[in-house]
Amino acid sequence: MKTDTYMRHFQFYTKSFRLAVAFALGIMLWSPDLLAQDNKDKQPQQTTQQTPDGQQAPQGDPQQQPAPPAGGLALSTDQAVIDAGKGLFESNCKQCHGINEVVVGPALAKVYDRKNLAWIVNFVKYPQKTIESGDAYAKALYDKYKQFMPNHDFLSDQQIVSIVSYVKKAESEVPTTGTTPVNGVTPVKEKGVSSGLLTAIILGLTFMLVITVGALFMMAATLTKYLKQSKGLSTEDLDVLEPEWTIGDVLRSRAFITIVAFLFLGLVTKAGLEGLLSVGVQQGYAPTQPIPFSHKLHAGQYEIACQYCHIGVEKGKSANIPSANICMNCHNSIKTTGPWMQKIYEHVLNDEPIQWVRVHNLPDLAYFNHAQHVKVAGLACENCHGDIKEMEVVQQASLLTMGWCIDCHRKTDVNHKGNAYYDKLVKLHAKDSKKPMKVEDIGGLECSKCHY
Amino acid sequence: MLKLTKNIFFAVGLGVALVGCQAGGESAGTEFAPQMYTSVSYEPLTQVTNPNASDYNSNPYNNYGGKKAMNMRLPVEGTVKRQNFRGANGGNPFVTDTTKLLIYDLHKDSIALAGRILKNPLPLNDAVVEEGKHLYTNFCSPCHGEGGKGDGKVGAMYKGVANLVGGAVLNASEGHIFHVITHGRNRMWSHKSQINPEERWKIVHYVKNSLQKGSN
Repeated sequence: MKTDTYMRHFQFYTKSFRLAVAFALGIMLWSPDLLAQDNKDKQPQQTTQQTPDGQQAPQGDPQQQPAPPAGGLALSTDQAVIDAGKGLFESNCKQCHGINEVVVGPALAKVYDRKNLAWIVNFVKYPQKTIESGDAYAKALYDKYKQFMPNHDFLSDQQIVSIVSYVKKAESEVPTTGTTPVNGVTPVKEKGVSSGLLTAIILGLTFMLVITVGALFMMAATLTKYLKQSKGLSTEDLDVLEPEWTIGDVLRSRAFITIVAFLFLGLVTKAGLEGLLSVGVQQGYAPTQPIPFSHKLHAGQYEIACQYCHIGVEKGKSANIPSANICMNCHNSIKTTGPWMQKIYEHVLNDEPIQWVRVHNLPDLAYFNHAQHVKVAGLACENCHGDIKEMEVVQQASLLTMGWCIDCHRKTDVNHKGNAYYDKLVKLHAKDSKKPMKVEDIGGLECSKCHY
Repeated sequence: MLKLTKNIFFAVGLGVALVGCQAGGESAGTEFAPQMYTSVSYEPLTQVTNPNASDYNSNPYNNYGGKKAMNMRLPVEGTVKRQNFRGANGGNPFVTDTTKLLIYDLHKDSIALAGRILKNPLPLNDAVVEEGKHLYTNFCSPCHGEGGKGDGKVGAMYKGVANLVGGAVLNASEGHIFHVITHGRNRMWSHKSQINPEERWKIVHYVKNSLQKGSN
């Protein structure tokens, strides 16, 4: 009878354990599916390529007719001419014109069908003059693109024709290049191991572990219960039932309490000391800015030099926070919409500075000069500001304590190459020492260098 | 035992309070002596946002459109821009030919004139070209690219960036390039607030004598 009950219990536990394992495995297998689904949703929508011809050609133009060879100009299919045209196109036209896409000016595909070559040559050489002369087609182009193309009068007629010849050759080849889909095959996005999948696996494994441990404890309890009910046990079995000491005894012992109290007080003291030392140290400070400017995007992805915006860094004490007109150098045409851009535009229009939150606050009692460190010493910004190219929100990476300054002044060699200011100091230093001249050797540790 | 518990609580309390002094995220942490931290005289980038800071912030903030946490100020009314003190058109006899062109006052639309009359006042030597290259890398290469082909990473987004080593710019005069950096042209905007005249002339030297000759 008793054995039966025990067996039934045991079977119940094993069954529930199996169920739990199956459940956990289910979670793990299901989540990649979910993630894959997610990725599918995130794939960029393929927009249909707009057909350029017809779109660019202003309607109802009286001069529009197929180009008869005019003034001895004719398109060439000669490979040498096309190659020459390609070179000219890449260095002179590509910046503003695509073959099949509108960039700054119109797409050039089929331009030879829209206007005759003589007109094209004249327009390329003197666009503004042609537009202002009242030419209807040219004026329509200007109204559409709101931009005067610069004069290209340095190109010869033959060169311009060779460019058009290249355009004719290239327009049929263009769909095979770039990211445009070929025959409906969309580019497949590479799928890395996402953090979501990892979390799901870890959660599944943890769940399995908890269930296993629980099942084992229950089994142990059942077995102990079973042992208690039987008679004539061996000494080993009795030891299991009535151990000489229990965990409770250990927890209540004087030695244990002393050790725990000691460790605890040690930890509290450590935390307290660290707290005291952190007073006035702002390492890790990463305030939210009024506009979430991303250094990761601008300095990291687009590799804009720090100096482009922080213009004071090589000239003066402060690196300076850029004024909004510097934002406008690019954002007059890149990403011109969105609530944050709108906010910048408002600041520009109202002639009112953006109130950025200052991150690095060196106390007034210490003097620091950016130009001396960046221009003279040639240090990279990352030395003190950390991996700014990875920061979505800027935070203070270094301690900016006096010890931190001095440590660097002790270790760093003076960058005296090509700087006559240091010539005599180097000579003096070389008299007494064979080691390279450090900042501390020329007074880099003197109080009055920074505190006055 | 009660005394021990009390002591432990006190220690823990002190520890927690001190950990709270640390900076991180939105919190700038505790300042030890704000009187010594904040400049008494005006510094343009000082920023004290504590409204009760009058005891250590002796200067009231610039009332900039109702926002009072900035020290930036507009120039005094009637201030004359240094660059307009005298200019390329001549005028001040005490200014030598070399320093003359470091001050620039030609109008934005006078690009043809600038291209005709301006000569680079800086001596052409390796050091100047080297500095020009450094400035070019900082201010020009995001759009015009390291090699000047108009293929910088920002340029790819901005579109319509001129090729400096081919086409029209190859034949452009020094004055033309200087004027374009100063006032911008077509799609490019003015960079005169970022690059001063001397630096612009250094860039011109680099572009004309190194970049366009393919020796960079």
